[in-house]
Amino acid sequence: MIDLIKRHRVLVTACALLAALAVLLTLRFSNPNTARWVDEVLHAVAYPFQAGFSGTKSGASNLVGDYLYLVDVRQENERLKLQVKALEEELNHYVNASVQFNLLREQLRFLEETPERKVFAEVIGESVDNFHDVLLINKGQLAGIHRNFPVVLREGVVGRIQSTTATQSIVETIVDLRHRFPVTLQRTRERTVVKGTGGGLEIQAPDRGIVLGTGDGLRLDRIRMLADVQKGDRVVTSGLEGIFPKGLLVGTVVSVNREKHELFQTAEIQPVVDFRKIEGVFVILKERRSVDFPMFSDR
Amino acid sequence: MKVLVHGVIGVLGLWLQSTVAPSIAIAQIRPNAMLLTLIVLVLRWPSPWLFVYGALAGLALDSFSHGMLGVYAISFLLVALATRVAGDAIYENNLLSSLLAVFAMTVLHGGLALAIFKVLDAGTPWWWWMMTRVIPEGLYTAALAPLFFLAHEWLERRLRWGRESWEM
Repeated sequence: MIDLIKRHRVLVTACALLAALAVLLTLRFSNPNTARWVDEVLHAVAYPFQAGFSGTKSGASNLVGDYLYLVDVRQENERLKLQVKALEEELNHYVNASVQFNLLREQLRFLEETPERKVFAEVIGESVDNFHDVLLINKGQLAGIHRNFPVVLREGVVGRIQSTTATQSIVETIVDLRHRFPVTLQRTRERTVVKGTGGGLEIQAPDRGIVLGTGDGLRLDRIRMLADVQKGDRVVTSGLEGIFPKGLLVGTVVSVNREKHELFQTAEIQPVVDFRKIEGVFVILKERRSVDFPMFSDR
Repeated sequence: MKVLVHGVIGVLGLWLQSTVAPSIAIAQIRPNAMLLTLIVLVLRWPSPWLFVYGALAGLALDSFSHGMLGVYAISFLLVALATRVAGDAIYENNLLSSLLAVFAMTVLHGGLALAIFKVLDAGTPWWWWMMTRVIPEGLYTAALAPLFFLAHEWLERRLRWGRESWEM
């Protein structure tokens, strides 16, 4: 037996490694909380590298920019052109600053208008692969941020905190394939009433569904067949999963799919947030207890 | 010594994947530099133990992408084994063969990863993602393959190891 293992040690090791990884994946999937320490250890190891890599990226581009600038400055004939370029650059900088100022002013107004305690964080990194949609932000546990805290912008919902370290956090955006949460249609939400019918009570419930991230957008699923869903309807958080506050805007319905043989309707949703342009986000600070056991798929 | 060089190549691949790949994404499609380093290593230095490097590289990518731990590790391990078998059987040391190998293995990796996602969550749109993400990623990664093969050949010359010259 031992001879056989020795003879096929490469194959045996490969199978053993594959089995170990499959067990890790199964453990992680079947009970996310039991094997979370493995994630936490690996993420803790990976964070400094990831942050360092992000730093080298900006450092390298600055270095290259500085070097080219210095070489060009030496050339007398180019000086005036460079000055014009520099002024254009400066103008561009001021325009950028002005745009950023307006954006931040809008966000600040949002911060003042809403009652929840929030922390503003800058986005410093993004997904490294094509299958996940996450953002790396520059605030972590030291700022009071913990796992499953909601992340929002003035426009609407961005995602939830997936993991944190002392100074950084990972935001899983709502368009990520793993993300799903219950929502309500804003137009029909107002009809949530309980009314007497003489013989008993009749409940008119709001039209609800579950939003699923599709990687590049959102799909609204599990809407009952009789629900009144129309193109242009605004979709808001229902608050049922215990993460997002009730009534935050998620997106608008762009098309409705109603097949007679299906049990539920589905709809495509245009997210209200443009995930490619996010520079900063707000993390809503909550009581940790209220988000430890959320009613949603927490993977 | 080879383990050290593999480690350095792995860290370099990870650095390229987390900094350069998002910057050169075309229509949100990033090339897979990490996988490219694995394929080049397996094809150029066909050690029977490179699947271990594959599993570790996959685990690192799992951690950096903040996905479910083990998905990329399993797919990288299987891709390393498949590349080794294909490398011995049909790989020739030239441009066309390298491009085809990288494209095929990137598609295999994407297909495997999506299949695992599909097993874990039936709602994963496997075909749609294969057409819109995996195949473009395969094409993009294959387009960058010559750079990696040439860089690797340069490294081989410096270290005086490895195979014969790569033919353009």
